[in-house]
Amino acid sequence: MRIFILAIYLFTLAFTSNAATHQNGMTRAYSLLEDAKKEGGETYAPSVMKEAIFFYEQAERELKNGNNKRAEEFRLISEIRSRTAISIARKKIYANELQRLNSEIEETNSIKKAYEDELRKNAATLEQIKDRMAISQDRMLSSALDKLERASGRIKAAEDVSSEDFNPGILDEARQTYIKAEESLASGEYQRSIELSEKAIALGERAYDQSKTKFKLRSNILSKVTGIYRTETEPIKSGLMVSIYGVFAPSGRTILFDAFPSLDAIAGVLAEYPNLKVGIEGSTNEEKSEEGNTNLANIQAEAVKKYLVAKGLSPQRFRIISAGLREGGNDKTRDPHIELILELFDSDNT
Amino acid sequence: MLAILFFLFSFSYSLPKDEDEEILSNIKTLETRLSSIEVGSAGIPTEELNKASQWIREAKISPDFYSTGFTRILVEKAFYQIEFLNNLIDESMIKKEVDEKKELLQKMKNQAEELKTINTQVVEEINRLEPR
Repeated sequence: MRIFILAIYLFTLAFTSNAATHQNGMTRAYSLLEDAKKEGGETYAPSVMKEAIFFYEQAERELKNGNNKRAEEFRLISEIRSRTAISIARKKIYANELQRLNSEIEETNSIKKAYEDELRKNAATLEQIKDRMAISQDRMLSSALDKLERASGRIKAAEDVSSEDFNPGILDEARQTYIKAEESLASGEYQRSIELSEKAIALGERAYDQSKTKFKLRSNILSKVTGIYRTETEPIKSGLMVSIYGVFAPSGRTILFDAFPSLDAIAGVLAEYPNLKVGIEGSTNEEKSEEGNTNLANIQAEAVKKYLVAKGLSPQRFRIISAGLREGGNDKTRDPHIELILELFDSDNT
Repeated sequence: MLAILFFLFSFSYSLPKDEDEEILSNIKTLETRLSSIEVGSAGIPTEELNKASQWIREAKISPDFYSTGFTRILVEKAFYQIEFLNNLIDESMIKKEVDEKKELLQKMKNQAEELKTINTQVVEEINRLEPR
């Protein structure tokens, strides 16, 4: 009896354990069915889903009838169909995404091509601009060199008409401007170099124009004065310096007769240029003292003035330069003489 | 008793009928299909391949105890499993293709963006050299 009860007990235990296992399996199968539905199995693989449900129901039926082995197989098939439905649904979703991606790739490719075309066009334009600029740069360099050469020429021309003497300020400015133009050219600033060269040209021309008149005047006077007996003529900054020798006897205050021709000739030249101002300075070293020499020199200068005025020249033209006060005075070792400073650059002489 | 035993024995070991030949043929087909899947089985979990292999074996050795086509059910199970494996392969391939396309798309977008940036720089340079 005990054995019988024990057998029944063990059988029941086995049966319930077995039943629980099958129930767990069915739960799993059902869960898979639900997952397949959620993943779109009914939309994308309806026939497979139907099969999954059919086999699940078959499994339930077989379980009810006690056919556990068959139930197990049907359950497994249901699971396989559910998972197949999931796989098919995923494939369809991937296929849709692939389609979308292909479309987007095509669109992006078009955009990329458009950018490529535009870039190609703009790159060509940039290339053309750079080519034009390179040509332009070459032309500018050529122009800058040309201007520099002309500026150099104008400055040289101004120097040839003694602008150093007549317009030192303007000439100096022209030179400085020329140097800056050269520096700009060297550093590649062609436009600036051209502008500076043009300024240097203008300054050089101005210096030349203002100087050539004076230069011509001085040259004319020089040619007239040079050759007068007992005279030496020297161009100076302000005009001309005419040194007349042997005008007075040693320590004399009266003009020697021999000097008259020279003074007359000078008077004649001065008469041709009525606007010419004249400074007169005596230069002597015959007296013992400096003061004495100065006094004698001044007296002699006054005498020459008086003589020239007597020849019809206006006294306002003359001024006596006190000996020793003139800058750059003559060497005292030279013979006594009278110096006439012909001042070409007073405003009346322009 | 002997007669009954003999009858039962001959019933168990009777010659295959047409239906059995069909099942055998199906099993052979499944084996061939499984072989071709195993060749290109990248992306398929080994566990699933083993299931197919095991179920085909079970179908091959299954005596049809129930005479209700139990072997046929086993064959069907193996068939569905192989169909599942084929779908897994397709799914893996198409997923790979999607990933590659995504990568390609991103690369193209980056290239387009780069072209756009370069183009902007070129236009700026043009405007700088020749202001409008």
